[in-house]
Amino acid sequence: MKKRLTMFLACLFMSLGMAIAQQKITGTVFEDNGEPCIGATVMIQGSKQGTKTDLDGHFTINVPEGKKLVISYVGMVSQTVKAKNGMKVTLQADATQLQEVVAVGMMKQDKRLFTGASSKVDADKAKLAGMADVSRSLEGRVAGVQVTNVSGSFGAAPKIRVRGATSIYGNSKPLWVIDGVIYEDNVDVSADELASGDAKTLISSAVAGLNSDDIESFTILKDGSATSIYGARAMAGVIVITTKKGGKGRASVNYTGEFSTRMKPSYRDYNIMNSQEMMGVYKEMADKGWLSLENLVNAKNTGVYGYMFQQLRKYDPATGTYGLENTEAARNRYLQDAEFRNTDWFDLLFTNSFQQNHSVSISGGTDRMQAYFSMSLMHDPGYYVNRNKVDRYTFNGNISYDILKNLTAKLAAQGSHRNQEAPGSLNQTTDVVTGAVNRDFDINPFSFALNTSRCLDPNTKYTRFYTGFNIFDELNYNYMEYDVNELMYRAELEWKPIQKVTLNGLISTRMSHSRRQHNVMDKSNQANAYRAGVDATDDNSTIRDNNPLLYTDPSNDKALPESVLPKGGIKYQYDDNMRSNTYRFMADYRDVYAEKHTVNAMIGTEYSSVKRTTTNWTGWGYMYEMGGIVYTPYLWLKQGNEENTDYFGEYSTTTNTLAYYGQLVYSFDKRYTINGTFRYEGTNRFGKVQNSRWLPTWNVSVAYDVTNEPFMKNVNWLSQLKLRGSYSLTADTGPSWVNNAEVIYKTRNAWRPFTSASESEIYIDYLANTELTFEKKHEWNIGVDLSFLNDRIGITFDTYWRNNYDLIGLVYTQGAGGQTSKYANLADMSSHGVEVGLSTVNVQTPKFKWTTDFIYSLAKNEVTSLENSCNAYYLIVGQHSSNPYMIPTLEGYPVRTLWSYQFAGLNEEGLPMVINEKGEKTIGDVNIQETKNLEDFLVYEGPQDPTWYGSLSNTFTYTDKKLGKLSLDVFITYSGGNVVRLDPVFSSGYSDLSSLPKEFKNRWMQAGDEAKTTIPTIASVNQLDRYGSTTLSTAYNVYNYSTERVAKGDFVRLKELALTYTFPQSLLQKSKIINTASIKLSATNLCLLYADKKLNGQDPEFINSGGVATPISKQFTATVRLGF
Amino acid sequence: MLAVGLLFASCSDKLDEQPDSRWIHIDSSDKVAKLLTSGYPSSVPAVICELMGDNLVDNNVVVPATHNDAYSLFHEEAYKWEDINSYSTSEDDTPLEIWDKYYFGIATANHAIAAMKEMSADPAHDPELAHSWGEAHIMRAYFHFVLVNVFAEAYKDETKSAEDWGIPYVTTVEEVVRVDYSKPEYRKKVSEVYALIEKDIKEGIDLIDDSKYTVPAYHFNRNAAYAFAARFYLFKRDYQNCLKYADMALGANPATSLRKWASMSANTINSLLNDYNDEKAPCNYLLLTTYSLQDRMLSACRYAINSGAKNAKVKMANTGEEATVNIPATKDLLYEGGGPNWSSRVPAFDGKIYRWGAGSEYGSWLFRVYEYFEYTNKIAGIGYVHIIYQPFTAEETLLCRAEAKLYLGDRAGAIQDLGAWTASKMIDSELNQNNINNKYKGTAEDNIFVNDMHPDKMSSEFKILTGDDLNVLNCILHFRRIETMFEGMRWFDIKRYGITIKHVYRGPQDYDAICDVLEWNDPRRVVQIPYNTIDAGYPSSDRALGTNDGNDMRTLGYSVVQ
Repeated sequence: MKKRLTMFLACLFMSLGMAIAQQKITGTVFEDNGEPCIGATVMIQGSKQGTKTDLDGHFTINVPEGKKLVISYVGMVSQTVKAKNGMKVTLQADATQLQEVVAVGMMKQDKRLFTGASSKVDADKAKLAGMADVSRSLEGRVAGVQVTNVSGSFGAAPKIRVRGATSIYGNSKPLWVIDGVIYEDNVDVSADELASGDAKTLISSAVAGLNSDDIESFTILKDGSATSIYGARAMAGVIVITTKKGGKGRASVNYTGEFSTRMKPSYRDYNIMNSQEMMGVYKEMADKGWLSLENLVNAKNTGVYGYMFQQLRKYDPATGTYGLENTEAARNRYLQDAEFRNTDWFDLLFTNSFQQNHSVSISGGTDRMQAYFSMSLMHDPGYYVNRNKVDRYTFNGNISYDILKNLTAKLAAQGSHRNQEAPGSLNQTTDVVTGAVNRDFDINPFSFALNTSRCLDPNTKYTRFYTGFNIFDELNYNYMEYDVNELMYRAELEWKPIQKVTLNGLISTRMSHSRRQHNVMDKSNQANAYRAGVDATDDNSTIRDNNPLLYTDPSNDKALPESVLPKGGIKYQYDDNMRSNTYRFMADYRDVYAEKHTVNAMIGTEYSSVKRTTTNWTGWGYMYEMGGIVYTPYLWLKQGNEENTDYFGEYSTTTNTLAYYGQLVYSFDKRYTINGTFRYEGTNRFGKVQNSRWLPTWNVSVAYDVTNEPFMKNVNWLSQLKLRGSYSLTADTGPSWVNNAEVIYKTRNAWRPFTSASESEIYIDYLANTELTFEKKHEWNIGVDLSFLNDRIGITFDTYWRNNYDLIGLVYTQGAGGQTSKYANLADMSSHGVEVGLSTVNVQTPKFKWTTDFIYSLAKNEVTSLENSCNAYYLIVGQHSSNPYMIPTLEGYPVRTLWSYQFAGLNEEGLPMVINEKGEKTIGDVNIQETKNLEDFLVYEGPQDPTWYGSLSNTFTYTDKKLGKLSLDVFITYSGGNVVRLDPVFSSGYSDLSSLPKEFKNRWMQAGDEAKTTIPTIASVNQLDRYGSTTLSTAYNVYNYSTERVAKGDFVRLKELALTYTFPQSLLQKSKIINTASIKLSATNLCLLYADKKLNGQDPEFINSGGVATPISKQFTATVRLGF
Repeated sequence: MLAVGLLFASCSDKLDEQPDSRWIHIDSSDKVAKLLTSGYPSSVPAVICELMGDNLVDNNVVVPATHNDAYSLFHEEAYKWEDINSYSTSEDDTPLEIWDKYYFGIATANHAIAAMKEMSADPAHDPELAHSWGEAHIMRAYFHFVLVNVFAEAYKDETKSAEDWGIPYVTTVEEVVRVDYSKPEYRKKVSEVYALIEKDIKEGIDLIDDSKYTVPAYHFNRNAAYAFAARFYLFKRDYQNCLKYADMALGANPATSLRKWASMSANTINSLLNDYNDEKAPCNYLLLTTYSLQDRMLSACRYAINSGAKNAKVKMANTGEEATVNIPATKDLLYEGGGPNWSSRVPAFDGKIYRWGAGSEYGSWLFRVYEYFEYTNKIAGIGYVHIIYQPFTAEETLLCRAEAKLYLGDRAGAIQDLGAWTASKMIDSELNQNNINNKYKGTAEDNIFVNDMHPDKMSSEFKILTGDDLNVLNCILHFRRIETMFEGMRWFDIKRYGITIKHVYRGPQDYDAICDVLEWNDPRRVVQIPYNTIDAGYPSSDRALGTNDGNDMRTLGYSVVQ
């Protein structure tokens, strides 16, 4: 029915358009890029008669003999030409004008008809040298888009927010659209999990497989008028990537080579004690009873002192000597060596290796066919000394062929392969009792360097988990290998049955397969831990009885602990498969009639399907040293059976969506434009239940282009003034784990004490919620585009108010239905913001140009309705990567907040005190699980997400025809308004492995110090006994989360400094091969120009969670570009 | 174009596709049975009931200090009979856990029942489904029975209990986010709850089929269901039915199914525990795997089975007057004070009682509440603490039967059952009326083995026992107490017999020891509804003193041994 209506309309409008023709001259107007110029004005010189060009740039007009035609188009230089039938006119762009086409993804839209808030960034301009992942390059480039590099590892997605959070529990991740098709993430990693440092984060970036040289531009759609066409997933904004296409004319070959090196982190930048200072602390710890022989000789983890005690006991019968002679002199000598050791872990663990990225593309075409093909290779030997390389290969090809004049076929394929290594890492786990986050056997080199004492000898094996540990061996023997393969195919057919109507059909399929293997080799500390205490060569009954990784047969009273891994190592494998398909059909009608009325109408339908499959298995007893033969320890299987752990698992998730959409744009004289979009989308997200399956989204927007008003004709100083306004409804399905429109049953094994009683059971995971629906957002956007003084100054200003409602929140129910807490659409939040983009040409002489771009964004939000209050623990810890089910916020505050216990000074023994929930000054008597009246005893510190951010970029260009072009870019990003927690370094006990920050120098040492310092003392064993371990560890833990341990998150970063030299044409012509050539030298992430002094080197952007997380490094890159 | 249209038409089926491969649809009898398996609660009201009852004394200290993590503020509130609110939603053994886990079990049963109705027109007579139909109804009945006994007054009689608020009796599945369970279709009076429980028992009890279970001891097998029915009718004082079902559970010769204490391997605490929780032992009618920290609470030593104090100087909670009281030595009551036909310790418990530290001054506990630890992370030593409880055992059912026989006038039969019980506890000497009379003579004021009970005040329909009968009743209550220590069952006996108890407590920071008395009709016998539930709109229970019957409870029948 809809289709028929369009045809009717199409015919109606066409007949109107043709009514003028009698004696005619026809012609075509092109833009300088070869595309037809739509809506160009063709006037008979000296008269008021004229017409406009149609969608193909064609025009037809009656022209008296000898009269000339004036052809004009906004943003183009007008031409006056002789009228001639069949004439072709190419208008040259007025270089100072802004970009004219907005890629909203599914279709291109005339910029003058565009009413929404969007920003376009040319890939060339945004590209950050040496950053192979394009998502990082958006940092600071677009007002309203915030990119936080929570980890610098390749493949890890940065946290991207368009206009801030749109959901409380949901992701607020923007949608990636590449050449009109939604680009699905390989794995479903929530925005908060990105900071977890877990192995999965290295495949979290959807676009890590894209070669940045293939990208033409990014367009970020921010308000609902631009995003509503994407319906139920576009609530958090859309990032549209347009890739390069072949052009008509001569073929060209382009080469880009990038060579980067990273700087090692340095102790200069961090606030870590040197070995001498550290030994002083150990001395105090020894005096306080911590480092005694009986405590350390069989301890789980020990360093300098423990090693000394082990050596004192180590007798070599062959020589009759001990590892270390038990004399005071020998011991002092040993300790003195440690004192002067000053091991530089950063230097030893990191390298300045050379990263290379080569990319070649060929493009060209004829009138009927255009093609583009590229390949790239990236090789990064790694930032760490061992097992950290990345190899990435990409290819990208697209071809467009006009089968008939009005029928075009477009084919595209794109693929990538990645091979990457990373230090072995297990997932973070949360202590179900205390909520503390742990990562077992963490060997992240950055964390290691920060947290490991500089007194240790890098060549010695100290003890970790009851067995020998050396970081260099461990990095070699315990590593992960990623293989990521991606392929995308797209076929598109475009047919214009009649002039003003375009029919477009598209099929796209994309698949990705990510395999990661975690190799725990035979000799690794992690594998040896499973045999510590019972190893044939190192039998130790004390360790045997303490080592929790050993297995004791529960059915045998007299059983002794045994190893479940007597030989070999462990191979963990995880496979993530993703397959997405899109089928789309669209009809588009565009017309200009009666010269002043522009109408664009479009209807379409789309079906898409995404299936993700996750598989994991554990290869226990894999003997790496023996060529991979498997020694299957039956005890391990027995134990797994008894403890309900599976060695294999697989599951899949499927999301199918079917959508119908339409858009109608009407513009009067290019002055007044009104735009309406509607989309009706259905999903299987909620299972078979029908009532929440379908969702309509829509927007209405208007634009008023003042510059096109007749009265503005003579105002020369103003080049553009356009006012925009929109109101929209967009939506999102909410957090992926909330889809219980019907009751959700899952299966598991019931916990039973013996395998003889084991049973599997089906349990209610979530009760049904027939009222479950999409999270929704109403948004007002008002914008102004302004440029004056011949475009020397350009300003874009947008402001918005959003009302997010039906958000998923946690609520407590009466519980008699079976669940006392539920996730449901019961929360609301509101947000508002301002975005300003200012570009100026400060100096412009024929040879020298200085331009400045300044971007400022303000984004604030407030949770206006949220029933449950989270507990004190989550509010003070603030981050919750390990627990997406708890959000640190309260009603009336921003969506992610940070709170502290009020520090109340040190007591007369130097122990830290805070104010607890009863309002009392206390040492450790706090209930961190408290859920009531949190505002009364916790101090609100601020939001975790920056509330303002942006960038300042200055470009200085010197051009000389003979000497070439030299330009200097200085790119500074800034962000702030948030608070960050200082690393939690204080504890009731430290080991002789720990390294401590320098503030410990000011710690409480003797009575009376409490008046002078706020740094607590190192607790003694005596204090531990008196206060109790729980009380004391709570006291120190809470101190870590007190008002003392917060810093402002504000920073100004010198993001990039780049010097580009472009060779002069005159020089290149002599070579006869090379057409263009340039060299760029750049330095990225050079330094923080400003950050809170309390941070002491801690990067406010980076979340140090260990695992596979790496901080953003200082990097130097040379880029060579050649065009043939 | 037509082809495209067809393509998209076929897509609408795709919107029915299951989004997650882990989702399960309950569409077979096997799946219904597996669903019911998950409905057994992972919590029992043992900790709060023990704290509110008279098995534990307050040691006034937390020792050793390293164990104070097991001590929680809500323990103190329970011991003081206050509203129990000082806990977090993740803590074990709290009123919220009971509410949450038992209603979850009820929801599971209701979902299974709804699924069975979808699958069959008459599930009760469908050979594939009948046993699950039976199990689901017994589960629903029992879970409501626990809830009504914890969160409401004890059953008095048909008329009186029609005035006492019970709990929501839920028989439907919840399909919207919030349902107001205070509405009349859900929230019932105690007598109505009892009627509905009885209806569910009758619906299900004959359908139970042990041969359908893989591990019967973790399900309502026949014996467990009969034992539940026996207890239910005992609490309802329908002694005829109690006897009937107890007989069905115990069979002709109950001694064969009682626990074999003599043959328990006493090598280690773990092996004892494994023997005790053997799913094949005939005495273990029903086993529940729970998350519970009772073992740790006991080892924290604040509240323990201990020796009490003679002539303790206290301040009376109601008047503030100073007084001197005797705190009963609960270890004497439970295992060291001897019984009618044994002296000092129960022989079966020899070598199976554990203590913290060097002496017994902080109390001791029997191995059976020792925990199982389920690791979630071995390296960090993190995991779940499980304790296995036995809500129904042959022993407890035997004591139910003895009580029913007593009230039905068969005192000799009652003594015979009690004798079988003592014999199974490795006691050689015979139990008879004489030694019962010797042990349980006198009054509560001069004999700690006699209960200060007030059944006459609870209901005029209550048959009041005197003389030998009363002595046998005190003996039964004493045996029940020993049998069910750490399970909280004593609290329900205290409630249903209107037994007056007193607690002496002193916080670690307090100067004075406080003595508080819980009279037979003290409204604090009702555990307050969990705060989350109240916040969500469910009415709180009125536990204010002096509102019930217009009298101040603490002045009624008040007596202190001077």
